[in-house]
Order: sequence, then structure tokens, then C-alpha cells
Amino acid sequence: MNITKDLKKLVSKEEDINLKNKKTDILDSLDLTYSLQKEEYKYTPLLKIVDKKFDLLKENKDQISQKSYEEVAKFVNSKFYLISVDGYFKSELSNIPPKVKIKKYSELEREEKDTFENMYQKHDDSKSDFFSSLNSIIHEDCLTISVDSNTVLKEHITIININENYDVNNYRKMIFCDKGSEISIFERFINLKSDENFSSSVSEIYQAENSKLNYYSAQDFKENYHYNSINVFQKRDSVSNFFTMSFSGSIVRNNLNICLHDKSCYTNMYGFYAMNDKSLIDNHTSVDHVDENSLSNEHYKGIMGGRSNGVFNGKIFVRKKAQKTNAFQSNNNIILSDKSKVNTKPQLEIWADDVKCSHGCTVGQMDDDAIFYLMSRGISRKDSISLLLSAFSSEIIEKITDEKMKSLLTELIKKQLEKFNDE
Amino acid sequence: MLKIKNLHASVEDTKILKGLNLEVKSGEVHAIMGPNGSGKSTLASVIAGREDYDVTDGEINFQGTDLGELGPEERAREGIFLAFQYPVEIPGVSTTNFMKTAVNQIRESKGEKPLDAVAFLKLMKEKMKLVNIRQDLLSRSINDGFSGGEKKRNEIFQMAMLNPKLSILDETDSGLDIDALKIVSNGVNALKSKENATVVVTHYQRLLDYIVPDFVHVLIDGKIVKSGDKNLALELEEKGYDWIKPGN
Amino acid sequence: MSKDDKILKDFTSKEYEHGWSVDFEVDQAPNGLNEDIVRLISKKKEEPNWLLEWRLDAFETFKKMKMPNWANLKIPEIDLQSISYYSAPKKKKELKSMDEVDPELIKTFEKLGISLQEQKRLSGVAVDAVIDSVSIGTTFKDKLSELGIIFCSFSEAVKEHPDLVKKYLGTVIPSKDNYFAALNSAVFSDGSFCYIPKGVRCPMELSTYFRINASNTGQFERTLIIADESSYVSYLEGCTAPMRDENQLHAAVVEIFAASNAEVKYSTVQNWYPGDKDGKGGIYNFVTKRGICSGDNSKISWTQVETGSAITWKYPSCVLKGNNSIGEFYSVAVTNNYQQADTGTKMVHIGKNTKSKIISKGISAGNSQNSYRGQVKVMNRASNSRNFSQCDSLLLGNKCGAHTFPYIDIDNKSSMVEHEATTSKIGEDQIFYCLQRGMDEENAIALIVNGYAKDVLKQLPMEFSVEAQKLLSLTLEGSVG
Repeated sequence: MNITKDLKKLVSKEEDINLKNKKTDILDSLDLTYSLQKEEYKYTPLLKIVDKKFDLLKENKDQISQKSYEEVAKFVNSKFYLISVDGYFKSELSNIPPKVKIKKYSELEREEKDTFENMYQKHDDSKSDFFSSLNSIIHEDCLTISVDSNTVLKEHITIININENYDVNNYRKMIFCDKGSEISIFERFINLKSDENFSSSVSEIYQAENSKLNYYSAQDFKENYHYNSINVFQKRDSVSNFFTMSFSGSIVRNNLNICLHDKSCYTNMYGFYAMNDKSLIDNHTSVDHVDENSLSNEHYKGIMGGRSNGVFNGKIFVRKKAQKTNAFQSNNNIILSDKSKVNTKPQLEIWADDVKCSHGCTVGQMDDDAIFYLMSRGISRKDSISLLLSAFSSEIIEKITDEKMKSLLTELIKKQLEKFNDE
Repeated sequence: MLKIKNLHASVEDTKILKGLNLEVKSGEVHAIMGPNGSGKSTLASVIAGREDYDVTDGEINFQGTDLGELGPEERAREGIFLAFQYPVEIPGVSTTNFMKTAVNQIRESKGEKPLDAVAFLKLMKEKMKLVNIRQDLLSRSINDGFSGGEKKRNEIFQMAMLNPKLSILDETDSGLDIDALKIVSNGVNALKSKENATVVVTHYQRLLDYIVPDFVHVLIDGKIVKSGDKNLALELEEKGYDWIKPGN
Repeated sequence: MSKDDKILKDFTSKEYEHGWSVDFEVDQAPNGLNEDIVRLISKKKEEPNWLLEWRLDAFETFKKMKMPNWANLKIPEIDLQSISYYSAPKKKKELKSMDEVDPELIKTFEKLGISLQEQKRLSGVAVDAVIDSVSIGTTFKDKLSELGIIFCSFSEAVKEHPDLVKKYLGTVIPSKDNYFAALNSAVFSDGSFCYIPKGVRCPMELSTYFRINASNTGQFERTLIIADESSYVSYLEGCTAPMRDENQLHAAVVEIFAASNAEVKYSTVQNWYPGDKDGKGGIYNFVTKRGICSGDNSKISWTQVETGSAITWKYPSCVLKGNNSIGEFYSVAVTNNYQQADTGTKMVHIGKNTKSKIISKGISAGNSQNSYRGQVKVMNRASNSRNFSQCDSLLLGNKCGAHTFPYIDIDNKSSMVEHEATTSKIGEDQIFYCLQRGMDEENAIALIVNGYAKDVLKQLPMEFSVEAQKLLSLTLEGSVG
């Protein structure tokens, strides 16, 4: 790879000795990681295209423009919000909730640092995904979020990441949810740059005993490229809920990796994607059941119009020790147009015997009988179709218990589905 | 025939049976009644040898043999039959095939020759009449997609096929309408003889109008707290269980 | 019902029952793989020049290829130079009929429960028996030829029907298709050939029985089945091998061609020696099987019961080119001890209104690893195509693994594809129910497992079905408790 040399230079400049060691480690296995990408990016030519279009190593500079301030106001819909621009966290633009410590990694006090130093690049996929490797080496400063034990935040925190000035922006964050805490996050990316850009975001989340996390994201990348990797490490009795909604992007790749490391963990992974034009959405998820009595439940639904391409890959691992595991996974797709495509690969790998696992996936189209039925009751074809599509999405939306988030996301989905009326 | 002395049993460290005594002689019909959670179904399962239950104390003696160390299949071969409260579905295995395997294995264990196809079919036809069960039901996967009534009838059909010495009917009446109840009861009554015995575990008195017990036992909190004749069942139906509970 | 009886009766025999080997005179090529060996094989078989050229071409292709590593298998390095690529029982003279076959060989097959003497054979099955690499005889040939059906060894077909062989060989599976197909194309020694003419419904099951006998040899047979317009044939394949401590390689190719309105049903009971309980020995089974539904309304149906082999790498597939054509795949794969299986199918929908169905039942026990790998591909012009897949895994014990890798690639908006998969263990309540009726645990498990696999087993012709059920029970013996 031609960038290896430059990456080496970057690593050599790293001042934090601990980080330097970790980055060196990743760099050393970069060739190996790269060689593993063929199967993982079988339908998603992100590596090829990104490499061709962007100078991945372009360094970011820390600056803020007035434009960002204005734009933020449009997207903030909660009391607490965290703003990053071009990969940098801006505390001056943010409103930080109480009992939650939010800092850049480089600004952490010694005792705070221990927690995150331990987490940093420990549970992510930087040894198996090239883009996570890259992000690990080239991101500038990591955002750290630490939720004190038993802190319960009813209202969600909005995280807004703005791509404003550069072709390539790399975001990085770590979230530490201490025992018994409960928070919700709604993450969005905004592209203010008119030219095509590539952004990458890698998150590492540690959930201590009995903590609860709701994580919502809405992705609307237009003609831009995005790589996202969220890595969750759960301890006993913890619960995580993920809602990933994707609407556009030249290529959007989401890795959601959940490790149920302890007994009685629980995760729900829900996704909805509705793409048209030439968008490509690739959701790669994995759930690793390490210990007993855990439950994972995954449901992704997608609508593909235009020349769009939907890729789903769901892996479920059940380790030897993970007896009494329940793991369910399902992926349903509707293909609306002649030019759209779906590639789906649900995957089960099971080494324990006392388990209940199932996966199912379907690829089909709008039910003509249903459309006819609605039309025969006097509803226009257009309305019939959008009614049926929104019914298709409702199965995911209904899983959201937070009413405010439910109505926010319902509204976004509704807007997106209106675009399918012409198909 | 069956002698249970001071039986204690628990499941996952929860004590369910706490010193139960019961004696059943040939030719008798016993009814075990009691409120939900009193240990009725546990008793049935423990007699049949279900491994989920730990017998922590006491003894079950069947025809002079201590059942303690015997596995469920050995107990079945001794002549104990359990009609399940929730008969188990085994996809792809027909009742006919299921019964043929069971009948012949029991025969084999007694040193008898297995039945050939003709003899087996003849036996089956004969027993089918008893419980008014259709041939096509027997060629379907056992209990898979059966209605509640069909499942229970199928249990009694199996009982007829295996000709046990002691039959334990675990909540056989639950979920049955009156017609199905009559058919099932007729089957049980037709199988009754001086050589065998029946233990009916039930929550409701209704079944006992059709399968008339010689003895009625009330099981509360893991012990038999009262025994009597069939009139006890009627009394329970009228007054409920509270009047009988210890401490009242 | 009597077949169940038989299973129970046979259930008592413990080890792999086909583990014996027989001594008869063999003609065996020296170990090693090179162009000379390819030429030698071709010469031994007195092949025409075009076929030699075809082999050499394949060998050139093969030399450029690498052993595939994408399967979920741990494959020890296979030293292709230490294998003999040709081994045949020595023929004393040209055989005019089955009666002249070496009595030792006839006995060999009788031991396997297969009589090569027509009068003793159950009516309705014609057998081509292949030992090591060579077909030693085919039964019922005359009767079949009255109908214009050609059923003979591959070598004989090359001599007697060169035009047919030349026309179809390598058209479904080109030699460059994959590493093992290329190897087979270069060194295949024999196999079966079958041609069903237009409008003929083959009145009996055609069957090939494969036996690896010699040690240190690989078996590379090649089967070609051509079903002309509106014809029908049901084809059976069975295989066994002696117990040997070293691993043996089997890399076969099966090609099926179905013209319009033709139907081919291909059933396999694979019982190669799986190695001992510690994973020593056993056959490495790398097989490429593919059928093409070339004409409209044609149908190809694969049924396989895989119980043997140390390693199984096998994906019988259907290319649904003709409109309204149908592909089916029914599979039971059982692994025990240290066996590994990575098996499944590919259904490629090209024609309009094409349908495919996949029923796969995996059963893993002991320390084994069992993977289903399958692809359903619907091309852009394959309008109104349908696929239904069901892939279930059953686990016995906690040292084994069950894995499912389905690929679903859909490029057509009017098609419907459904995939379902479950993994579970045998229910304790199911076992208790059986025990309470007086069965012992081993019987209970055999009964439940056969029930679980019933949807596949019922696809097999009656005789095979009995053998398959018996095999399932035998393979899983001692895996519980």
C-alpha cells in the first residue's frame, strides 16, 4: 500500500507513548487487515473508490466557521448536544449534561485517563476492518463521554458531526457507561461542504453492569462517502438498543459490533434503510455471545428504489460458554425498481448446544394485491404505495419507546418515503 | 402396587414436595387434587423419573422395586405410564412410528420378539377404536399441529398401546371440551382392570364425574393434607381449597 | 414401516461397517502428478487425441490455480505428489458380460449389499460399479438400450459415443471452474455416463456405486448425465471406502444437462470413511456437482445424505437458464467426532419464472464442525423468480459447531426470495417423552433425528431412504450421554 509510509510518519509523531504503541501495533498488522477485506467488502467498493477519490491522509486543521454555528441550530432538538466539526469536538458549541463528563482525550486528568486508556482501541474492529485501522491512526483527538454510575438521563443527547472544510474527516469517540446508568444518544452527520467528501467515525462503548444505552442514528449523506463503526462491550445485565436509519449516500458502510461479554446481557439492533438514486447502504453487524443467558434481537428492513444497492451482513456468534443463548435476526427487503439490487448474508456460527437461534431474510416487492385492495377503496396509487411503505417501516419505528425520538424519526422516514412516490 | 413414603423433591433448589405419602393398590383409581402450584404435576413427573427433579428424601416403591435409581425408560418398561399435561411435539416422527419403536423396545427388554408389521397393525386398529382416533392422525408427526383434544386422545391411545400397570393422567382434562372429555374418559375406563391402577391428577372435579375415583387426595404445599372418597371432590368443588389449608 | 424396523435392528453394529478392504490384483500408476501421468492415464484408457488435449489443457489451467481457502474448513496440506492417480483392478481380458467379472469384485460389491448379477438384483435399479478409479461393470445395459438409453462407464462412452461426450463434457463445469474441477479434468479415470433420449422416461433407477479400495490412491471420477427433451431419469450414487489411517483424496465432478421439459433427479448417499473417533484417517471429499436446466420447463433435483468423509467440500448447484425451470436441493449433512463439512448449494436464476427450493438439515455431534454455505442469485432478467430456503441445524453436545453462510444476491424487482434458518438442540422434553414410553436414549435420539431430517429423506428413492436412515443413526452413535 502506498500510504503505509505516510502512516508511519504520522505514528512516529504521536506524543502519547501509550497511544503510539497501540497505533504501531495496528500499523504493523495493516497489511494483514487489508488482505482480509475481500469478503467483508464483497459488494461495497468503498476501499477502491475512497482511495481513488480522496487523499485519505490529508491533515485536518482545527478551526471553526460561523456557518457551523448557524447550521447547528437547525439540527439541535434536545436540551443537551455535543458538536464536532471536521473531526474535532467543540465544547464551546456544545451543551453538556450534568453528571456526564465530556472531554477530549488529550485533556483528560490523570485519574480520568485510566478508564479510557484501558478502553482505547481495545474493543474496536481496527484489527479486522481497514477503515477502523485507518481511523485509529489518523484521527486527531478522541471525544470521551463518561456517564457516572446510576446517572439516568431521560432526555437524549444529540451528537452532531459537521463536515465543513475538508475532503476527509475522521471522528472518534469513546463512551463509558458506569454501573446502573442510563443514557440515550442521537447521532447525525451534516455535510456543509459542497464537494464530495469522505468521513469516518469509530466509536467504542463500554457498558458496565446494569447500564442501559439507547443509540439512534439518522444517516443522510447525499453524494458523500461514509464509514461508521460502533463497537459495544457489554457487562452483566446491561441493555443496549440501536436504531440505525439510513437514507442516502454514495456509499455508507456501517459496522455495528456488539460483544455480550457477560451473563444476562441484552441487545436490540434495529435498522431501517430507504434508498434511491445511486445510493449504496451496507450494514454489517455482528453479535458475539460470550457468556450465558444473553439475548440478542436484530431486525433490519429496507426499501430499495432507483439504482440503489442494499447490502446486509449479519453475523451471530455463540461461544461454547454461552449456553441458554437466544439470538434472533431478520432482514426484509423490498425492491422497488428494475435497477436496484439487494445482497444479503445472514450468518450463524454456533459452538454452544443449548441455544435458540434463528435468522430469516426475505427479498420481495410491493404486494400488488394490497395496492389493488387499497385502490379499490378509493385511495390513489401514490397514496396506496406510501401507505404500504410506511406500514413496512412501522415495525421498526414501533420498537422505539421514547416518544420524542419516535416522532423525530417517524418524520424523517416519512419525508424519505415521499421520494418513492414516482416509482 | 405403588408405595410412596415421605417423598421430598425439589427443582433447582426450590422444594416442591415436602414429605408426601401415598399408596395405590391394584384395581384402584386415585385422584390427586389441589390448587395450582401445589406440586401435582411434580409428583407425576417424579414418579415417571424426570431428571429435572431431585428427590432429596423418601422412597417410591413400585411392585416391590425401589424406583430411585431407575431411568424413565426403565420405569416405563416396569409398567408406569404418564399421560403428559403438555404432550411433546416431535416433527417428522409419526405416532405410528413412535409407538412401534416404543412397543418393540419394551418387548425386547422383556426378551420378547418384536411385533411384525401385521401384528402391530392389528394391535393398533384394535386400540384406535377405544379412543375413537383416526388413522390419518396417527400417520402425522406426533402432536405436531394437533388440537388440544387430539393430543390428549393420542396420549390415551398410547396408554392403550403400552398396556401399563400404573397410569398417571396429568391434567388430562385441561383444555378439553365436554365431548372430548367423554371420549378420553371412556378410553380410560375401558382400560381399567383388576390388575392395573390409575392416578388422576386434576384441578377440576368435572373429570371425576367420568372417571370415578375410589380415593381422593388433596395436595397442598407439597403434602397430602386430606384424603377421602369421591364426595371429597364434590366438597372441594363447592368450597374451594381454602377451608382445608393447614392453619385454617 | 418395516424400514424403521430394519434401522433399529441394524442399530447395534458399532463402527464404520464398510471399513474392510479386499485384495485383488491392481494396475496402479506411480505416485505423483505431472504431464506424463496425465498422458499415461489417457493412454491406458486408449483415448482419442482430442480428449488428451482437453486433459492437458485442464492440467495447464490447474497448475496456475491455488487450493481454495474460503470454506469454513481446516484442511491439512494435501501432498498431491504422494498420490497415485490411476489404480484399476487388473483385467484379464475383455469382458463380454457381467458373468465374466472377477469373482472377487463381485463379492466386494455383494459385501456392500449390491449384487451385480442382474437376476439377483432388485428390479428397478441398474448399477454401474466403480472401484478405485475404474468402472467394473454395468447391469441392465441391454434392457436400457432397447429404449435408446445409454448407461455405461465413462471410458466406454468415450469409445462408443464420442460425439455426445465431446459435445457436453465440460460445458456445465468447465475445467477452469475451480481447483478441484481442474484437477479432476486432468486426471479423471472413469465414471458413469448416461444419456436419455427425447421423450423417454427411464423405467428404472440408474445407480453408480463408488468404492475406493486401494491405498494411497485418489479417486477422480467423472459423471455426465444428459437428459434430452422431455425425458426423465432418477439417478443414485453411493460411496464407501475402507478404513485407513492415512487420508485419501476424492475429487469428483458431476455434470448434468437437462434440455427443455426434461427432469433429472440425482440422489447421493455419501458414506466415505470418516476417520476414526480421534479424527485419524478418512476421505477428503472435494466434489463439484452442477446441473444446468438449459431448456424451458426443465427440472433438476439434488438430494444428498452426507454422513461420511473427514472433510466434505461440496455444493451441488443448479443453473436455471430455461424459462420456468426448477432447481431443488435437499440435504442432510451429519458430522460426528472430528469430521468437517462445508456443504450447500448455488441456485442461479437466469430464466424467467424460475423456481428454486433449498432444504438443508445439518446435524453436528462430537467435536465436528458443520457448515451450510449457499447462494441464491437472481439475475436482472430472471423476472418472477422464486426461491425458498430453509436451513436448520441441530446440535448434539457442546463441543461441536454449526454454521450457516447463506448469500442472497437479488437483482430483479419482481422476484421473491425467502430464507429461514434455525439452530437448536434436541429438546430435553422430547427425549423425556420418548424415554417415558420405554425407549432408551440412543433410540430416542435416532427417532428424533430421523424425524428432523424427514423432509429430505422422503425425497430419496425407497431403497436409499432405508440406507440413509440407518446411516444417520450409526453416524451419531455414542454422541450423546
